[in-house]
Amino acid sequence: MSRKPQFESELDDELQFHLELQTEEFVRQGLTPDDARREAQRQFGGVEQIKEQVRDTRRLVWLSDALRDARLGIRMLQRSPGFVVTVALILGIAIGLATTIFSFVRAILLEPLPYPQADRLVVIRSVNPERELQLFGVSWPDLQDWRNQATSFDGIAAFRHLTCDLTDGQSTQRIHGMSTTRDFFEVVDVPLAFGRTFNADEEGTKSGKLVLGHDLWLHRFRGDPDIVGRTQDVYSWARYPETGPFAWEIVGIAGIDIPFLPTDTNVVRESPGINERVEFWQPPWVFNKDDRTARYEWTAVARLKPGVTIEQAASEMRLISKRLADEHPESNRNWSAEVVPLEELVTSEIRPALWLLCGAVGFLLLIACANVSGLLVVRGIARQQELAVRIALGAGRWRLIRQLITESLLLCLAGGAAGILLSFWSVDVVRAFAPPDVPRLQTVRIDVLVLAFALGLSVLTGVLVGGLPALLGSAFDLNETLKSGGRSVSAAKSRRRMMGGLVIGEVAVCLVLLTGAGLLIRSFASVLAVDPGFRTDQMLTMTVSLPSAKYEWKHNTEFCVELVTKLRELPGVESASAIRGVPTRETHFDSNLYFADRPPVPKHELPQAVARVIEPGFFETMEVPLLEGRLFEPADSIGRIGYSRVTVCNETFAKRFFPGESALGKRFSVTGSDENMMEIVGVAGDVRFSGLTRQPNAEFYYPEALFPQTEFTLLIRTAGEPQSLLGTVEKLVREAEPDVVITAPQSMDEVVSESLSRERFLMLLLSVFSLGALVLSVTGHYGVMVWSVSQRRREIGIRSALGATTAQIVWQIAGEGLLLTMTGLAIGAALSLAGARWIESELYGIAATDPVNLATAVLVLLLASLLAVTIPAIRGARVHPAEVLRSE
Amino acid sequence: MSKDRLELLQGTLDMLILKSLDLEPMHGFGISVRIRQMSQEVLQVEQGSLYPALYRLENRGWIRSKWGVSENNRKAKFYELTAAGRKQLGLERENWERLSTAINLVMGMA
Repeated sequence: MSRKPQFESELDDELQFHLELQTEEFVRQGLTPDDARREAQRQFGGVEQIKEQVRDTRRLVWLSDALRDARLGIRMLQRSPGFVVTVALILGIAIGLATTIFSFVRAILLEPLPYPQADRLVVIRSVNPERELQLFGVSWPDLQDWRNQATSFDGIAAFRHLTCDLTDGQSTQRIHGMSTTRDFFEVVDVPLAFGRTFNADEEGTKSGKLVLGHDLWLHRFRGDPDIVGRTQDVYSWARYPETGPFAWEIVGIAGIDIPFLPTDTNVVRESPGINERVEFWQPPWVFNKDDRTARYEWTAVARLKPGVTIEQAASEMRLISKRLADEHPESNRNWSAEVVPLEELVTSEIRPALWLLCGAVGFLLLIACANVSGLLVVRGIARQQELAVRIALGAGRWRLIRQLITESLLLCLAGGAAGILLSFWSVDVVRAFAPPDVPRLQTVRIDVLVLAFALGLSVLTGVLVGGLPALLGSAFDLNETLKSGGRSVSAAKSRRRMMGGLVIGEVAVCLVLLTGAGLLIRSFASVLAVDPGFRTDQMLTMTVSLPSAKYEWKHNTEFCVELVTKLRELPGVESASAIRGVPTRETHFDSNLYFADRPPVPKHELPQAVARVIEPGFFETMEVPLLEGRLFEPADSIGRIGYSRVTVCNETFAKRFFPGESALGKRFSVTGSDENMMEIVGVAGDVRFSGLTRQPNAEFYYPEALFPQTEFTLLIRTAGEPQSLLGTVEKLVREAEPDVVITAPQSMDEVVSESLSRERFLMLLLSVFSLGALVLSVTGHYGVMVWSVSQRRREIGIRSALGATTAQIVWQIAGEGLLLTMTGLAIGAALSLAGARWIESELYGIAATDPVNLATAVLVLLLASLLAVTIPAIRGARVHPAEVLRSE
Repeated sequence: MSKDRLELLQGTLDMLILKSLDLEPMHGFGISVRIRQMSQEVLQVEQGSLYPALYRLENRGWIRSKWGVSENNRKAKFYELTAAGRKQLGLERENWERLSTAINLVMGMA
């Protein structure tokens, strides 16, 4: 049933026919039919050989035709450089932007993750559908059960991020790494260059073993393999402080560097970015060996067995979870496990935004195509005489179409070249605007694949842009065209229909883009209008990290208090304080709450709130309003680490846990023991620590640095421009401690602005795209109107000779144009509403189907096309009838 | 078949095909027979040259093809000259005359 191409089957028939006639002739000459057939065949030679020769000729002819078309095309285009430049510019911008967005999609979404066979890596996480909780983590006992029972995986490893200070007695270096189970190296497939991974007896204890990342080994230890077996002093830092330096034995060196795996940023505050590389591994220290509710502690990463699908693995994990829930109802009831491909987790944040941009840039490209297509049709009409002559000389219709498509291909390749040039520049610009936490942002580049994409896109646009005009351009009646000088009525009609279609399409697509951009702009405005809960201007902030080698628990606190006191005395400083974590960039860690005088609740149902550790003067410096009660007083300090008698909570806390009554005087603890009870002495306004678009958490404050901090964020209210104090403050901090690490010295306004980088990124790009779309579609419409008026000069002349007023003629022409706009707007509005869900997740404070927004976009486009329609109409109507009729 | 048949000069086949189509449309076999007859059995067109040439000529727009019914009532592909082909034939005839005269002069046969 295989169907040969028409060319091949025709050739078969033709050669067969020849052979038969030859045979008949030999019969006529007296041979027997059999001999005749044999002789004919002999003379004929191999049929296949002949066919191959014809095919060769065909290929050769095709090539020489293509070359001739290209030469001819270049000659034609050379005659109208203005036209070429215009088209190359329009297509160049569209193709350039599309290429740019594609380079992001490729590097971020399409490229496999930089782990060996990353497509089989999954993260298994605890979920509670009942409470709509999706944790990143797993508790240690649950993990052991998963490992023992699950058969879908080659292994389930667990890890936790960890930051340490590495020291050799002279210089200290802060390093980011992981605490991992020993099978991590097999599961993620990290080969070792030297040494070994951890032994079974090193798990779960503070064994002090260390596997170094390849890069750290190369740079810090100059690639010396003899380092294996030596010990290094390491100061553990971050969440679980250890006292004093700890001698670690380096047992292995990783053969490759891998980037960090995603974990819940709510769990580990100082979690390194997904773009950073793991610098060390150490065996797991397990803090909650038997607590199944400690689901925050570990993140489980597993490798699917070959042939096992995600669904199979997921259903097995659900089954195991159900079993665990039956066995341990007090901790595991309603808890299940979810299997998520690692790839999906890494890109989940940015994926919808990138696809949105893809769609937008695709729309822009479509508009550009429609625009250029219109230009080509107009040009094609001007060339009708030329084409007609070529047809008369025997050129086939297909040859003409090919010629026209070759020309538009050349145009689009010129556009593509311009686009590639543009994209080299625009990739850097777009990257500069992109939020810094986008995974693999630094790997975005223009490479061979992206260039191939740009080339393919150029060819595609060439066919798209040239196809229609070519079909239309060649589809005319030869005689009529030659006779009427290119103004045949039927061809003009179909051409006008097509131009109308182009305009409608452009308007519709443009409206979709405008609506989208409008939504993002208004969403951004409503984010900006959110009250962060504190005064952001005239505030300087920086994060200060102390070298843990020098500072132990208490000294950290003292250093911080002294520093803040000194800062307050600086001229130009109105007040100063400190907190852990930067507001709006802060991630948090939930504490369990045990309220006094309330019946005990099972541990997994305990209410939770976020604890904040602040220095004195926090509320005054941040200008967070006190709603009820009082703030902390010096007398509140009892000088005991980890404990306070009083606390100040925020408004959300008070409303959530004490609805309808005052929270003042109420007592609770975070440990469940009575001696740790704290009394709420004040209620402060909500501060949006987790970002402007997130609802404030229930939070409470500890006075002073009750917990050891090697890292804290200074908050300095300045009298004038915050940046002007930067140098003075930095100098003061360095004087207090020369080895300090200062990160992110910024004004608070900058911090807030940076926290909105993702929203701004999307809004800016989409606004640029839709502005481009607006300009293109309006000029496109304008061009079509000018053309249409010029086509109808005769008609206009006759009508005005017959007594039609200029106004009537203008109205008629403009009315037809506006009808196209209206049709386009109606289609565009329907498309916008239908596509609303694609943009929903990117919006804050505005519905994707917001009618005001849609109406605004419609109005903008309507006004713009009013201009595009009326100007050519008025110009056209001014034609003097005599002038037109004379020119006939 | 016979030793007194000649190989065609490079580039002359196209001209011969055009010439043989000058009177009436013909199919491929007909063309080869016509050339043989007109040359009094001296010129033999190989099928391996004929069909590629036909394709080439058609593509240049000098001849066009149509499926029709042959003299023995079978489906056959007929070729005919186009206007451009007729013009080309005139051109080639002229060239050939000049060329052959020149060659004859050189060979001292004129």
